[in-house]
Amino acid sequence: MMSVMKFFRLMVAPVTAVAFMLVAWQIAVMMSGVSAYLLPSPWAIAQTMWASSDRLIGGAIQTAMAATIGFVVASVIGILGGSMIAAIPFLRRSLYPLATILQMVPLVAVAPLLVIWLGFGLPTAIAAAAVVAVFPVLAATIDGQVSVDPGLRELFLLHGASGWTRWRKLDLPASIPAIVTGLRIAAGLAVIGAIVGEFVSGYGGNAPLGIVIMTAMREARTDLVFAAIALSAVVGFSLFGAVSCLGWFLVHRWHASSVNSLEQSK
Amino acid sequence: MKKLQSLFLLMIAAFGVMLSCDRSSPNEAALTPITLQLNWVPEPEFGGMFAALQDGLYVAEGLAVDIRKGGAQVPCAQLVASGQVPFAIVSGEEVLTLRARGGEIVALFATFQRNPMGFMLHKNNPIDSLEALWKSSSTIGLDPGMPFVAILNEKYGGKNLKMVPYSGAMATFLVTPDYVQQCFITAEPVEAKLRSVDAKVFSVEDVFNPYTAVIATNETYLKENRATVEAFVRATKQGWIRYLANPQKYNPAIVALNPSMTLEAMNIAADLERTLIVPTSGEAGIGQMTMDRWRSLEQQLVDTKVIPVSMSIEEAFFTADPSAAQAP
Repeated sequence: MMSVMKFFRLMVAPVTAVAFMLVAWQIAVMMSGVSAYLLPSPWAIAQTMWASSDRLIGGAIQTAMAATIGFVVASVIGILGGSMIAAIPFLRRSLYPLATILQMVPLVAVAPLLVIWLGFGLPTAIAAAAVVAVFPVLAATIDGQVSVDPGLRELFLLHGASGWTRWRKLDLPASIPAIVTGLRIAAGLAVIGAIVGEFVSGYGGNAPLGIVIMTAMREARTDLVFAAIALSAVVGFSLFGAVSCLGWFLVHRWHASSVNSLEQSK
Repeated sequence: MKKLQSLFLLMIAAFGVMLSCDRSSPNEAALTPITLQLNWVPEPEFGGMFAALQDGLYVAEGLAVDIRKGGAQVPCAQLVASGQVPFAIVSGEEVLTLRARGGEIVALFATFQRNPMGFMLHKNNPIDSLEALWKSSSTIGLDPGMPFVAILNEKYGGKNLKMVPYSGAMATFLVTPDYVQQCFITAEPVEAKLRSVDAKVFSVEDVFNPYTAVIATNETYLKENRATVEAFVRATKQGWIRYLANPQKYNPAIVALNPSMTLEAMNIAADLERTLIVPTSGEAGIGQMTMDRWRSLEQQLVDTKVIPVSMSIEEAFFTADPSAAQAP
């Protein structure tokens, strides 16, 4: 019962902020008389979402699939790659700057090349999502693992622990809060990457949200563009929420951030 | 003290630069500045505008025209309907689609009287017609939301086709023998041939024939600047007559703005586009628009559910010479 009350208490502020923004937006559109093809009202967008729900939900499922698989690929590469780079100083010196530079390559320029390399369809959207999502995980993993308490590290050395044991029992657990932060950022980026990938990579069975957006732009259906954007935000928020739940599950018993927030809420 | 002297000299130099930049003649200052937003990169499909610019036809009409490059993602119709630019190049269906959504866009001048859109296949592809293409399982690169897709789907099925977005680049076509892509029949096939890839083309003109490369403005601009609009259209029409008479004179300037297309390709494209631009009535009819054509397009868009209801077509296009609107 307490946890339900706490959940509602936590939700009041963000829900109020969103409701306020939507009401202000609706009033602004009604008062200004701006044309719907320039800025549709939230009510018009909601009506479009209802009328085009089959198309939008089908597209959201396609996009969610590409974003989720891309996110998982980025997470595995980011955590394993980041762990290796953090553990081996030579790799840190040589690969970390390279990874930083790769992060700065604009995805829109790379996406057409991904089509040539991987072909049209889901693989390119997945790759685009992974490319854009991998760096935050990689950077967070490296940061988390190089920041492990040196005293604890010396304790493991003193007991003759192997590198594998130290990574499994110290470096990885200690860096989980940092990794979760990186994963949260990557979750949102994966959706953006998937949609950019869809812009160049194909229709699939149901047109994914990227194609819905392009089609709606051509047909001057700004309401449908906003509806697709709202659905993509839902996909991103779901992925973010899942990562946050996973992070809470992994650290809530011992990490200071969770323990402190628990104590503050008491 | 020395620092103060340096600062003083620097200020004098900056003042000099400012004066040298402001060298517009009284005539230039009197010109009406206008912008034409292209919906694609500079190519022979806009040859008349560049010819009018190069030969000073716009200046002779009192206009200082700035032609802006476009691209696949530039929303020209929305830009012109919202008044962000006074003139833009759009397609006929964009005019009607946006008007159906409340956009105040008006067509002024139809460059292509016949639809130059088509599909480009490798020459050794066994598919031999548009119908056969639509009944095949080919991968086709095309812009999402093209109205003729719904028409072709209704006519030929198209259930096995794999449609993928067209990026505007030809790299995929050049390296993939069974890949099909949308094209302007005057542009991409020529460019492919010059890169040693022979292509065949199926035009969509027989199933969907809107005016293409249409110059549009918005209703408010037209009402408030009718003389400017008429002057711009007049100069553009003369520009097209000059360009079609001697495209080689003007293409080097277009190549300079779009080095990705060769001069040779532009010269060939200019020859090919002549029959699509000049109506059967002759050069005097360049740019003309007829009520019948607009009504026919409207009916196709309603039938394919691109637009919800029919509209007042009379307000969708403007012609300074009313007789041109009735010309066959």
